[in-house]
This record gives sequence, structure tokens and C-alpha cells, in this order.
Amino acid sequence: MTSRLTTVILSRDMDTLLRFCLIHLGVAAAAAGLPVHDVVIVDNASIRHLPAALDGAPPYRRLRLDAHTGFSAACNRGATQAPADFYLFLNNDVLLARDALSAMIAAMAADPGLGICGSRLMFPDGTIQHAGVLMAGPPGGPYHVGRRQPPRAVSVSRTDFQAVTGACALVRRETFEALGGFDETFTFGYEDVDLCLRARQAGWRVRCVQAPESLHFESMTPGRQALGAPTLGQFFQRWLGRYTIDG
Amino acid sequence: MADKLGVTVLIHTRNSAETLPRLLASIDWAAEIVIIDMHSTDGTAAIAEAAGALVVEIAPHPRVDDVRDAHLDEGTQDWVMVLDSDEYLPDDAKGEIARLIAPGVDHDVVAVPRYNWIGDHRLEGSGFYPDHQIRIFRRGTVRWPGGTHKLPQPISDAMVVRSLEPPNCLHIHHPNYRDLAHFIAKQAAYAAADSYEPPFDLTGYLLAAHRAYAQRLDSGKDGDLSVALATVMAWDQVMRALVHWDREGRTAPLPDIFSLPLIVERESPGWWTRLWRRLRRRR
Repeated sequence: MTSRLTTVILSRDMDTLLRFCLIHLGVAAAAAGLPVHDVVIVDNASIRHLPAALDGAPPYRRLRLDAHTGFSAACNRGATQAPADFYLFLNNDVLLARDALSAMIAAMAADPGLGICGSRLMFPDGTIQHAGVLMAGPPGGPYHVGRRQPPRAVSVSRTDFQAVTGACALVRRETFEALGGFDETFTFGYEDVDLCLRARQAGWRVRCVQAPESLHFESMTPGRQALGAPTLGQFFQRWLGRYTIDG
Repeated sequence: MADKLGVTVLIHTRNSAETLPRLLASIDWAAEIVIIDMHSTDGTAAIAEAAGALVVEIAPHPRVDDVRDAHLDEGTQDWVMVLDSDEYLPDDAKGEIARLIAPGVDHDVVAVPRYNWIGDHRLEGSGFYPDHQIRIFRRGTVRWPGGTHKLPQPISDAMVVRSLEPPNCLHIHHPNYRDLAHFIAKQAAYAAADSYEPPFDLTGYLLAAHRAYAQRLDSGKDGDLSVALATVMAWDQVMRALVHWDREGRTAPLPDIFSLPLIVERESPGWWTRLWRRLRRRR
């Protein structure tokens, strides 16, 4: 029997950040009626190994990788540890708002054709980090709508997108399995957009719920930003000319 | 079977029921697991058989490396991996080992770094990291010298040894000691069980004690724990000297210089002593 929800989080030597991420997840899961659910932490080659438990945080399963691996492969591996109706892929630097998970699950329940549901995320200074992904061509490619803008820059009624960020994405199990999970040829970056575009190709919808605002520090893991650049070329190679350019 | 890796994993056990399940769960990708069991009485063999391992029962033996060497030919796979019953591998071991034994690799022997723990403290220095271990090799390319925790050797210089570069690579995980008392007890047991080659050389042991202290002291990485470990490892050499001396019939002289150096704080001399020394120097 599968559980209702499995949360998969990658972690690398940021245990204190992870602890607060988990505490917020626990509150959000309880508010969503899931006080107990599977949490898989993929310890992605931490120098200091992830402890078996973190003070005050909900319990989790550890998956230890000695060799640092890409986001896609690590997430896929985490999901296989605990099959569930929904997978929440969550970055360790996202602090969920109390009602964020409830809103995402409610959106999934209301629309069986919804395959992937993201959530509005804010920077600590109150500007938008993520409110959906807009698609553009080279050289920039996909970008976050309203990024670094005040909250009102993106209407809360705007929910349908071609893609959402994988920093906080709820994925329906049927969708995830039909697509074979994240494409592991993407190491860091654009694997989330690729998953969303493949989901839409297969007939699923992608949405971003805008009402609860969660906090995203973004790229807190040392060296993370440098990892994304090479995959943009890979993304264009696969998708250029095959998605709609947003206005 | 199709997705198993062509590796024979050899594990020697002696009442290993507490740690063996963790190890077996971490090597479920191996085509063949052979347990060399030294008459365990705690259900070790049953645990191994339930996991599909082949169990070879042998008489208990005090020196583990003798056992390793005598049973290196067990199993049928082209590649062999040797693990201790209190070790285990990470969750990405299968993929990493698949690359190490892929057809066409130009090495015969792989030295794998090892993480060691005392309680919940993973040792980062103190001579306990990276602690490379020759544990993966083509069948027939490695032998173990007799003793306890001796380093295995390729059978000839023609063997190509690959040493994995830490930290971003496969490691053996070895949560070996519950606490310092456990560490001390194990060192004493190894010293008592080991074999010793004549002649007895007290000076050599004392030099080794000082060397061990210097090599293990690494408080920048392991804090005060490294002072404790360095002290134990220095005393380990002293204990070994005593066991060796005993084994050779206690005939060699054991002079009373037989101690680790102690720094004795003395009170500074009084005015009368200082005056007396000054007068003597003038004469």
C-alpha cells in the first residue's frame, strides 16, 4: 500500500537550514491533514554526514550518496524509496507557509488532469522568487515571472504556466511514473522545466498556486549556481522551437 | 540476477548478528555473498542464509587476516570485494562499483577510502581518514599477510592499483567504535591476539610509540578526541612491546626507562639555592 505523500529533499552540509525546512514542512503537512508522511532526505555527499535525526524536526529516511550526483538522479532515487500518490520535491532552503501544502493538494484534488503543481515563493526581502516560469528563447531561456518584483507584480489569479520551479513542486505519481521521473541527463538546472514540458506534451496541466507565500532563500548550497549554466545549452538543444514563447 | 554485479563479496563473521543486517542490506546488488563464519552462536549464519548468502563454517581463529587470506578463493565471480561485518556501503555503491569493474577498466586492484566513527564523531584526521583500504580486486591478484588488520598486498608489481580520490567517491562506512572504552578494549584485544616476529626490540617499540603519538595528534580536525586517540595508539605500541616480551619468555632485559615521557613541573628554586648556584658557577 502506498502512502499519500512522499517529500524528497536533497541536502549537502546544511543541516541547520534543513532542520528549519523540515520543521516548516511538518507544520504544513499537519495543516494539510498529513501529520505523518514519508520524508526522504538524500544526503548528496555531505562532508559531515547527515545525522539520523535533527532536533525538533519530523523523522525522515536517509539515503546516503558518497559521490555527489545531479539533482535529477538524486530526486528520482529518493522517490523510489517511498512510493506515494504525490511526490513533493522540496529544496532544503524553502520554508513552507502553513497552508502552502494544503493549497497544492487541494489544487491536485480539484483537477485530476493537473500533473504538476508549484507554489509561490518569496525572497527574504519580500520580493517574488517564484510565481511561475515563463518561456523565452535564447540567450536567457526560461525565467521566473516577476522575479525580484513586489508581490503585486504577478496577479494571484494567474495560475496556469508551461512550467514551475522544482524547488517546491508537487507531482502526481501517475505523471511522474509515466514520464520516467526527472531526466537524469540534466545534472543541475532546467530538469524541472523539462519535466513540466514533457508533462504538458503528455496531456497533463501545470499550475502554480499563488495564495500562500513560502520563503525561498535560493541557491544556499555552496557552488550551486555555477552548476546550472551548462544545462541551458542542453535544454535549448532539446526544446528550442518546441515550446510557446510567452509574451 | 540480471541486474546484479559480477562481484563476490567476502565477509568474515564471529557473532556479528548486530551489524550484519545493515551490511547485507547495503550489498544486495552483489551476485554472490560468501560469509566465512567462525562458529557464531548468536544467529549470524541464519541471518546470512536468509539474505541468500553462502555460509562457510570454519573454526574460530584469533587473527582475522589469516582467515581472509585462507578464504580468498571462495566464490566464483571475476571481481572480489572484502568487507568487515561492522562495515557497510552507501546507497549509491552499486553504480560506483559498476563503473569500477566495467569491462575494459585498466586496473586490477582498487583502494577505497573509509569513514571511521567513534560514537557519532566521524574522524576527519588523526590518521583515520582517508584510511584507504585495498578491498576490491580481480580474483587472484591480492593476498593478505597474517595478523590482525594488516594491509593486503597485490601479488606482484604488475598489478595496477587505483586509489579512489576522496571525498567525492565511494567510501567504506565503518562505525567501528561505540566510545573510547570500546576503542581501547579493541586495541588491547588486537595486541593480545597478534603474532610477533623475533627478535624483541624494545627501542623499536618505544620509537613507534612516539611516532604513533605524533602521527595521530590532529586536534585541528578532531579536537581533543585526537589527543585521546594519539595517547591510546602510543600506549598500544607499549602494550604490544609487553606482549612481545612475554611471548619470548621474558628473557630480554626490560630496563626501568620503560615509560612514556612525563613532564614534571618543579617549583622554582628559592633564594638560597639561586645564590649557591651562582657561587658555584663563579668558581
